[in-house]
Amino acid sequence: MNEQAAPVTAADERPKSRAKGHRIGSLTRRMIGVAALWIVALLLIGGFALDRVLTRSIVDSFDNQLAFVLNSMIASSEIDPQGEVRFNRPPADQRFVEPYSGLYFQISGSGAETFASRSLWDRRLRVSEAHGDVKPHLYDSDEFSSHDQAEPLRIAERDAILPGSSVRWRFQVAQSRETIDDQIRRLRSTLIWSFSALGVGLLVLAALQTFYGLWPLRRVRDEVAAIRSGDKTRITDEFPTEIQPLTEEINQLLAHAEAQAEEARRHAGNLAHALKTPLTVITNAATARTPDLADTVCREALVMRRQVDHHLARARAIGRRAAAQSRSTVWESLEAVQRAVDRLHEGVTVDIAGNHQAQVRVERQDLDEMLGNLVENAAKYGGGRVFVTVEPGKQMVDILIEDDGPGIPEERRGELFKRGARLDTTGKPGTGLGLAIVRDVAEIYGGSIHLEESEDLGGLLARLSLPAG
Amino acid sequence: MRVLIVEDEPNLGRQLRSTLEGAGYAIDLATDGEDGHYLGSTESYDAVILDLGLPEVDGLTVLDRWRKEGRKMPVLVLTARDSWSDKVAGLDAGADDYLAKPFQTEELIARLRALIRRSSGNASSELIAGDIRLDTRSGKVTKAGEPVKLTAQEYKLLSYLMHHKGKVVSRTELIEHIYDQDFDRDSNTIEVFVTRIRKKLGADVITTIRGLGYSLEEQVS
Repeated sequence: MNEQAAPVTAADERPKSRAKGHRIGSLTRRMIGVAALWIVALLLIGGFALDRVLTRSIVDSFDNQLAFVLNSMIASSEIDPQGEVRFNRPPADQRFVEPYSGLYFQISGSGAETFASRSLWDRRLRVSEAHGDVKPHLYDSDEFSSHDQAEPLRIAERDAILPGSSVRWRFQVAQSRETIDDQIRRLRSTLIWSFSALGVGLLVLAALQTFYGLWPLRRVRDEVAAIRSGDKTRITDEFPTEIQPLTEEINQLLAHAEAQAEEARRHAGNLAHALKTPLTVITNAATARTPDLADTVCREALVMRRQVDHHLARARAIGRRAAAQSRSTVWESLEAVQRAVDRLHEGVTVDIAGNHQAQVRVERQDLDEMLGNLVENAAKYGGGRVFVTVEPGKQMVDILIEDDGPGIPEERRGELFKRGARLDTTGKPGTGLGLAIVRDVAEIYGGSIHLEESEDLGGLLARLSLPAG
Repeated sequence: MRVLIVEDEPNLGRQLRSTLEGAGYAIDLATDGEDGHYLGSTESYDAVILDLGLPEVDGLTVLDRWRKEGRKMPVLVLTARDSWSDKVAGLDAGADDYLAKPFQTEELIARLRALIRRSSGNASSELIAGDIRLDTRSGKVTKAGEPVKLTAQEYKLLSYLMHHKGKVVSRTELIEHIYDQDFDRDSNTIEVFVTRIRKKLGADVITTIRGLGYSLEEQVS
């Protein structure tokens, strides 16, 4: 049966796709599968209902006919002088005369000889005591079926007392069910075929609908493939309203990636350019064999190192920001930096106060980088005491790094952000890049850095503001 | 002083050895992590210079193994990775100092000296007056558990008074212990510092004994 074939295959496919691991599977297959389930379910219910109604009406009309024959038989019966039943007109149907014709009657009464149709020949209908009233009864019987030949009967029977006799006569009319069984079989086969065809048709339509509905997705795939192969730069086609936002997002992603690639190219160019100047100076000095060659090489090497460090820090920060929108807890990062600075700078005390839970939308390594640079600057150039305060606000978290050093006059603070700028002449190690890197990284994440004067400690106060997470 | 250098780059290794030998150190040189770990575990060194990028076993693993074996010698880590996250990872693994390549040999020698000096160690001690605590080792001052912002001079003054808790300390004595000899002894900066400390820690923390000096009393909290 076709109706049953569909759910079986659907059930077979499910474990297969599950066995392949966590794959979601085909959207098309999923939609067609769901359509198949409800089409089959509805057709089965509809088919069974229709079958019941039609079968019932076939049997009813057959029963009506039998009842009519039974009633007309009773009406034409009378008692002959010997007290036996006879018909005052012979039954019209020829099949009552033909032996084993499939249509029979039998009139029986207690103490009287049974009067049966000729078609019964040597057989007699069973007279059951179960139906003992004058209402007609209709039932199926298998009493003539033998083990090698089936002859299902439909029997109508009724008890009647005829005028001129006190005997209660049992009138029975039986007809082979062959004709109605045949009709029912034909009806069922028609139903099965037509519903199967309907099911297949609906499935095909559902499949077509799915393919048609998902077609724009294929087009998106083709467009993206075209972009990857270089035939196109953007998705330009018009798409349905459900898909359009996706293509717009893809376009924006492409623009973003292009901008990033462009920025990377620009940075590589800048770095190359920045390195070329010191390289030229070194080459010239070496060619001319100038007496201060060694000093020149050291000085220019330091310049190159600054450039490399600066560009490296920027590239790392940009790459990480693009990779993930991560959050970091300021306190954890500060504690790590504090441990490091305690080890690296003898005689320097770093204190941390304020909110322990404050989070910022900055990748942890970049937060370490910024805080490390600021705290180390304070440790190097302060009087030995560094105080860090975490002040969370609504949108930004402020991190205040104060030292008790001499501080920096307001008009000179801006110079600190220049690459390689160092206001001290003490010769402490460093590349003079710290603040430039901090500002670059902070700005990449949408934050800022300001230098102020520390009220409590008298030295410099660096206020790092970063977006709260 | 005996120093172990673990460095796989032969040129840099040779350069470091000759520089440090010139500075008066006895040098052992290991060129891979396995060898370096073995020497560090079996010999006694005053300091180790450890490169992080090593063949066989990397530097952080070597360091971690030494610390787990209970080897306490100071370790200076050399690395080309100079981001703060790497620095923190190295120091948390048990390094005592961290120097990023490229570096100048003068700086390396200065760091090495400081490292050896520091490792001779000093005992920790905490001074307590009421709810004020002062850790002389780490230099941290807290009031009721919260860290307090003090400048180096304010810290020195408070530390001196806490060391002499309950005694009257004269202004001259304070000046002598807080400043070097060239300081102008007539200046009134001591008064300024005392005022600032009172502002930060509470007015009653330091008592002025008119004509004699200052005193820090044990507070009843």
